[in-house]
Amino acid sequence: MAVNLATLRDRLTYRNTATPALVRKDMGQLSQIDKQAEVETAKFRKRRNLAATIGTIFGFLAFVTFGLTLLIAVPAIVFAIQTQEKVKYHRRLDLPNYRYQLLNRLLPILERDMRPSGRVAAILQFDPPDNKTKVVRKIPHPRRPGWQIELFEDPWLTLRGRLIDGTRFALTLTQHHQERSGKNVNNKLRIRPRYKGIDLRLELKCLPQRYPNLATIKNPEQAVQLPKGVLLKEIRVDSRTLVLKAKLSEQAHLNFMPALGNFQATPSAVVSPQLQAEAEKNLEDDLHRTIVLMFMSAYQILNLTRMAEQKRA
Amino acid sequence: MRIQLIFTDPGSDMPKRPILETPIALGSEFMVMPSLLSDRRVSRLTIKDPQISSYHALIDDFDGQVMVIDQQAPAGVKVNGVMEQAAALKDGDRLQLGGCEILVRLVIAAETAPARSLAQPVPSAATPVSAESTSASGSRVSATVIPGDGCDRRVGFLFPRRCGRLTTKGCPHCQDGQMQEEPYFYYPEHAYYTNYGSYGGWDGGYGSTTGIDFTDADAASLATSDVDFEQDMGAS
Repeated sequence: MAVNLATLRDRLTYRNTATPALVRKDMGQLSQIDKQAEVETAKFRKRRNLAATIGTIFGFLAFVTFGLTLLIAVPAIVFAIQTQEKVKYHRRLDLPNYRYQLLNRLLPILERDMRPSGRVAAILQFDPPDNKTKVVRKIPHPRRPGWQIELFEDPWLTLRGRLIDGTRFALTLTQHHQERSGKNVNNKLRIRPRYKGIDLRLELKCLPQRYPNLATIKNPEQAVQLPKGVLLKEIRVDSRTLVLKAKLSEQAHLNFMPALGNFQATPSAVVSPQLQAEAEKNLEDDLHRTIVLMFMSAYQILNLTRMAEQKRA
Repeated sequence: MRIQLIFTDPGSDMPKRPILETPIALGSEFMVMPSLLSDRRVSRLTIKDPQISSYHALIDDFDGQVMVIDQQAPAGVKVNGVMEQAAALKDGDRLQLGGCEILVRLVIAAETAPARSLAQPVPSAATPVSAESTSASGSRVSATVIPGDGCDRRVGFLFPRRCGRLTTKGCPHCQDGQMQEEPYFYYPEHAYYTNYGSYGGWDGGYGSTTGIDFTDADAASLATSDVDFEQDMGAS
């Protein structure tokens, strides 16, 4: 399925069930859409800034001299407002690169262990993590009276499929975000956004006849290897299911701040675009490594049950 | 002539069983071994072992007689435990190069024909080909069917197994048959979990166990429908 631009603009969600090769092709298309949006946004942003500067200068001159410069200032400001709308229009499709690039890197790995006709179901969301629909809780600020903290959960990637051994996998990535808001001493509203890490959940549902006595395995957490800075939150094993939950801490990516939809919540400490791009790339690499290790750790556990069964036979 | 060399790679401690066309150069440095001999393309097999010279030995076919020739390697070449400068090889001989012992299997037409019939009906180009048999002791063993001209490289991320393409043409794993020197197709991801498949430190309460490979027959026996997870997703 080719990516439908109108639907993508409307919902900011990619959803497809297809072979990994086709999904990767779609990721290539998303990459082109994203690059085009970045170019257009930068172009209109430049025009807007120029028009706003001209409008401000000539508006000031008109105020001082009561002259005809107002004839230049007004159209310039109108043009700046119109261009701002175009910036907004194109910025909507300026997608977070790390999301589609991560999926694009994961698919070829999983494809190796899928049947040639095997399909994956992928849902990839691109809307900002501070979208109000993603609020899960509101709590009072523990130290600032009158302030509150909104907790957001953004499950931006869901990937399901079946591996060659018949095991079904479901991988979910949930990004956590917080917004601390309240009034400062000047009685002005302040919003402080915080990136709070990413939860990764891998669930494997396997065939009991292939991996017998899975529930009897002892200390499965000892088989789990994760990168530094990634915390194993939970490991659950029963007769046919293995669930691994890990957390990629925000401390590992201090420069990372996702693009936000709430204009007021733009972080005060602006990180340079170069540093931000670097932080995104690091986050993508760490996610990739963590997911690979989660799969390998899970299969280290599953394969042990199979070996023990063969040994018994 | 095609020859199968069965050995345990000293570097990775993994079993390997490439099928190679003569002449076959054996050594530790791929680039040092000749790529052509008398206008014939040389299959170069790299074995990473400190006792194996960069170009250690050559296996070639002389008028139907397969010979192994020592290439002045300090460690020499042993055939069935006897040091030899040059020796004829027969099916089942054991070569010793440095610390690596290699079992030689001569792959002749008679062996290849029934192997192909086992693969009937003819699988698709990407379907692995294998057969499963029972050993004398009664334990299940997986035997790899020797393909005619297919790709014998081992692929897979979680399940190491043969590529099994019936032709090397267009195969991404052996790159059109040009990458026969290294029968295992490893991916950088394997370096993340270095002791994957090894259970030295953790045994899950089962006691000591040994490594195991996922066989192609396993995959065939587990073929099931793909529909349910798509319904779970509610995806269009």
